[in-house]
Amino acid sequence: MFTQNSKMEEELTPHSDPSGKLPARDPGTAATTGGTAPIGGVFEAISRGESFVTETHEELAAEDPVVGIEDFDLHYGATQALFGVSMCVPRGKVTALIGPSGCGKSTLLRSVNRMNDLIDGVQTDGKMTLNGDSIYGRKVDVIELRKRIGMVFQKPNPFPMSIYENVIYSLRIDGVRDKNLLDEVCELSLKGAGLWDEVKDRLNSNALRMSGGQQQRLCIARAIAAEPEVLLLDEPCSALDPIATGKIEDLIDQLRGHYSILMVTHNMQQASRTSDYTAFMYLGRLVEYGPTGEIFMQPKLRETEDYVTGRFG
Amino acid sequence: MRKSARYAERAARLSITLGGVGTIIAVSLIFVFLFSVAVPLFGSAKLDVASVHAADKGDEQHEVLHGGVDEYGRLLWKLQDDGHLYLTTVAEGAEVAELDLAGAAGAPTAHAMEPGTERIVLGFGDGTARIGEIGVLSSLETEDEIPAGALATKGADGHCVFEEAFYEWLPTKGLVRVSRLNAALGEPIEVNPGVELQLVDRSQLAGGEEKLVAFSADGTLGVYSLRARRNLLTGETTYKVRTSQIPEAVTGDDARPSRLLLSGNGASAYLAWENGQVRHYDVRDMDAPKLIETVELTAGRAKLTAMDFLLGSTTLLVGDDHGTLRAWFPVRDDDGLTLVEAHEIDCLDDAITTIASSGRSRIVMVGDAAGRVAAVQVTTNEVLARSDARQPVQAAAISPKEDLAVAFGAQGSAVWQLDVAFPEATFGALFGKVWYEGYPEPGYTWQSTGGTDSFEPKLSLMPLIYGTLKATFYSMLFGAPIAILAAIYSSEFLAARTRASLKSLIEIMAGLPSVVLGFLAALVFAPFVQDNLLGVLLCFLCVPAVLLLLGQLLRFVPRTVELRLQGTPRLLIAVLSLPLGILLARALSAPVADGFFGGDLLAWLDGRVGGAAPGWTILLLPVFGVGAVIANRRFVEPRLREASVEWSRTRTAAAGLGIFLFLSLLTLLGAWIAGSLIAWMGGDLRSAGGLSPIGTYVQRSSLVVGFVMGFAIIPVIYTLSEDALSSVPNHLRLASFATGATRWQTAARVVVPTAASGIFSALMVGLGRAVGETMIVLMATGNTPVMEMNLFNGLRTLSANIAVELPEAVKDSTHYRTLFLAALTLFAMTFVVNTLAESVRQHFRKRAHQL
Ligand SMILES: Nc1ncnc2c1ncn2[C@@H]1O[C@H](COP(=O)(O)OP(=O)(O)O)[C@@H](O)[C@H]1O
Ligand SMILES: [Mg+2]
Repeated sequence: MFTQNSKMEEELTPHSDPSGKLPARDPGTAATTGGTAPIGGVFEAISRGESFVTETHEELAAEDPVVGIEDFDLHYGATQALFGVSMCVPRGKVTALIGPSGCGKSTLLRSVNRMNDLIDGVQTDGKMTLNGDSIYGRKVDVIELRKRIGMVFQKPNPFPMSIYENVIYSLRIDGVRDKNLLDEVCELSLKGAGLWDEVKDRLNSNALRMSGGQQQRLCIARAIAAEPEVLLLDEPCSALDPIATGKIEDLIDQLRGHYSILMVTHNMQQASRTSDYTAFMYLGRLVEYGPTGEIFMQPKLRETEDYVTGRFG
Repeated sequence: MRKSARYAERAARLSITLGGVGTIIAVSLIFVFLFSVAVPLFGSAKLDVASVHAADKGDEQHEVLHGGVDEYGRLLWKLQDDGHLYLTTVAEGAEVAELDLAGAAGAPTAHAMEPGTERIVLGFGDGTARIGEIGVLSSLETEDEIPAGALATKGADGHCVFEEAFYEWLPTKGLVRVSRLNAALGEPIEVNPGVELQLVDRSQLAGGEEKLVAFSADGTLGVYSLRARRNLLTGETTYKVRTSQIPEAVTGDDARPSRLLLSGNGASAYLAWENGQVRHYDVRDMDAPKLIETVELTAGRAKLTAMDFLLGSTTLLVGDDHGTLRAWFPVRDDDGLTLVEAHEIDCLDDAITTIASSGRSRIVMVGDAAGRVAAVQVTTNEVLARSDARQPVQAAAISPKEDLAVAFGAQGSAVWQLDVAFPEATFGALFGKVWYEGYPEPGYTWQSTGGTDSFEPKLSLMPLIYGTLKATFYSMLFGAPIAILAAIYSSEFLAARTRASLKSLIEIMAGLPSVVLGFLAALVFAPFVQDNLLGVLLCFLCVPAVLLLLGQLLRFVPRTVELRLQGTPRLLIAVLSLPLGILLARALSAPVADGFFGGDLLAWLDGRVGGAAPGWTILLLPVFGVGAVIANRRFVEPRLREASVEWSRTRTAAAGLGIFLFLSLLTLLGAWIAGSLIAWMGGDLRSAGGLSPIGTYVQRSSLVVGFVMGFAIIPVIYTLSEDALSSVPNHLRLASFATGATRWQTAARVVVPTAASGIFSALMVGLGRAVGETMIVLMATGNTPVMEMNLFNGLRTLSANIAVELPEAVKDSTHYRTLFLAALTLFAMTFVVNTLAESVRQHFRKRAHQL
């Protein structure tokens, strides 16, 4: 009994061994986080269950955060999926979440609009804010919260109704009945999603008759119709062919500046092409987070470099 | 190994194909079988012209008054106006016997025969009347019992005439049927001594009483009641006569009446003139016969040329000189009996001279002065067949088995083979309105069997189809919303574990045999509902109200507690609304009964107490309820949500509760005011009949059926719709939730529309089950074939009707075939419903692939 306790304590104690054996990196940038990585590399430390501090680049300090995440933990029942994630999603920028599959990217994304509430046995800890408002606070109305956040899923999931009804869905559930307003929002959103010219003549036809790429852009139109404060994209292109993928990437490029986007991607090129910032996750931890150029060209951690250069993952 | 696998596959494919094809064949065979039994109903009748032949030589001097055929279609008799009666064979026209019926009394001056019977009455010039019988008596004898002479004269065709008897050798060896004329008149009855009787008719009433009406040359119309008294010593029958006369019913200057008929029940006497006028006397009261009405029986200036009764001696058949046959019968109205013209059949072209009713159905043989004859089904207004007798028809007859028709004339008798097929069951009679005898108006009636010989089967399938649809409607009204809401609730709100156990619970419900449900319905539930009708009805109001109220109250609970209540506890709270609602209904039933229904709902429904307003209120309540819900969602809820952003939880909850109570009150009040308004304008649902959902209560009511059959169809609708809802891909729900939709919004706007076709097909399958369900409706309804939507009276469905009546229907009779037609109709109904369900489901399956 006693021995067991002490063992657990040992596991839970933060590892604060100062590092000397880490690969060479730019001393200037390392200072921002006071980065202290455990012996034997970050990955080993993570797999040993030791805690560590995210390597966050200093450029992010200058950004205006739309979503702020502080020391966020998430458990699926007994298994922990997120470990002390802290990051901010900068306003008007595109932020990419990368990492090997199963590392918790989608989980983190779903935590932002509390879609994880729908899963039995999910427990969270830590702080998350949307434009300064608490997301996990006691008095937060999830429904109202989700209305402020747009989300696009991996697989295109338009509703089996007309294109028009799909786009204005968020307004419908808000009980908006003003036909002019609905028409206007529909047109603006479809234009915003670069779909207007393709579908303007068949707004009343069933959305399921569109191609996969069009469906995904329709989902984006549906998400931006609600004027979300942040847009969450979970591998929006993984189910699409290269041409459709290209269109979505162009679209993301156009949305930059108007919307704050947090996007999960599996595809390194996509992250490097479309995002302003990139966050690298591993086994539920946020490992390194910085401007996309730096993450891909000169990451501060060797593990990040290994991952982005395709040496593992 | 591989080879055996291939064999196994081939065997499996073969057996599946065989099974499928076999099922299709079996279903088709059932259809073909039902069809083949039912379809002869629509065959048409025939008067076989080829077989027409003169059966006897005829008599130019004397007119035939009455004629008939024996039971076996072998012998004809005819009574001439000289009082002579002849019996001849049908086949050769050979004379079997001759009888001077009246004997010394001479030729009758008046005569009448009761249709479908052998009873006759003759009137004579001396003012007497004699009642009697004319018929053919047959007996079976063995060859060694009959006279040797008969045996000797046996013809090659197996029959002979010997000593005023007709012998026919039967297929059974050694058996001979011997038929003799059986005719006799009773003792003369002094009716109007010394004055010639011009018209006479008789009826045999219940209890052996004979009633006679007679019109004499002096213008007296007399009604006579005779009670036979048999002298035990001499065996002679004498009559005790009570007389009641209307002297000078017709004075000297008036035209003489030409017909006099007395209805079979002895209630009405009809005295008719050639100009078509008839006087309708009420002769029930022997002491005070009175004229009820005078009616024009023929249209325009047509002359009344023939008048006789239809079988049962209630319907007057009137023939005019244009060949039109009209049927009149008395119906009861506010001031007693009134004659109504129910049928008008244009059957012949010349003056109708004779109308002879069949003894087993409403078919009559009509003959005219030009020698044409027609067989007519009176009730269905149908001329079954026409033919030509080639001589003015003096009298006609239809054989007891309706296989021969005879027309008597001066040149002899003409005989036809008659094939009437199934005259009562025309398309019009099965599916249209028919004016049956004694009914105030044409209608849809099902009454297949009756007590008397003259009973007419009434075979409209409409009341049965109506009953089927009514039972289906009420059970769907009760079962479908519960089943679908339960399916939505369990697929959208319950955790998978709870859902699975709920589903298996409901599937156990499906396993309850319907005979058990029917048994419970009839013996437990129906009496219970009758004793607690108001309470049961109030449950429909109270349970949902309590459920909504609990929902409102739950909003007072702190958020942390509410989060902990999610899932099963919440379901339990919802379930709690059932007992609470029932308790509330129980508590309310006495005050509501006193306040609105004059203290007794059953009496109120019967229209004995209270006003019309509560009925309309009940009907309008759902309308106002829906109105309140819409108003709440459109105007109140958005504003409340906007305003309540700053409010505390308790305050928001209180506001919600207040609004809920206010709107509920408003709904009740609105419905009451509108109901009172309609009642004030003069409508009362209780006596409206037809589509009115309320009316007089009977214990085995549609309410009970609605409940119990609704209960029986809940499982199938629930299971199928739950499947349809669960098969809606989860990513659609997630997309909706991510947009900020609540569970209800997601269910209502995304899941249910996506699963709509599946739910529709579930409803259709439930509907099919309800349409075909037999045991529950059989046991829980009174099986009364009425056509009213009244929730509180009974019904009779096609299926229950078949189950009840098929065992006692005579094989291949009209009734039997009509029951098969009912089965075919039922089959068609369920087939349509199920096909619809299946095609929708196929469509749905195709769409599901796209999702
Ligand atoms: N609904 C769930 N229930 C339990 N565990 C889950 C669930 N969803 C994801 N996980 C686990 O959480 C971890 C992170 O998953 P996810 O966020 O989907 O990874 P990614 O999107 O990066 O591939 C994985 O180990 C996965 O098994
Ligand atoms: Mg993922």
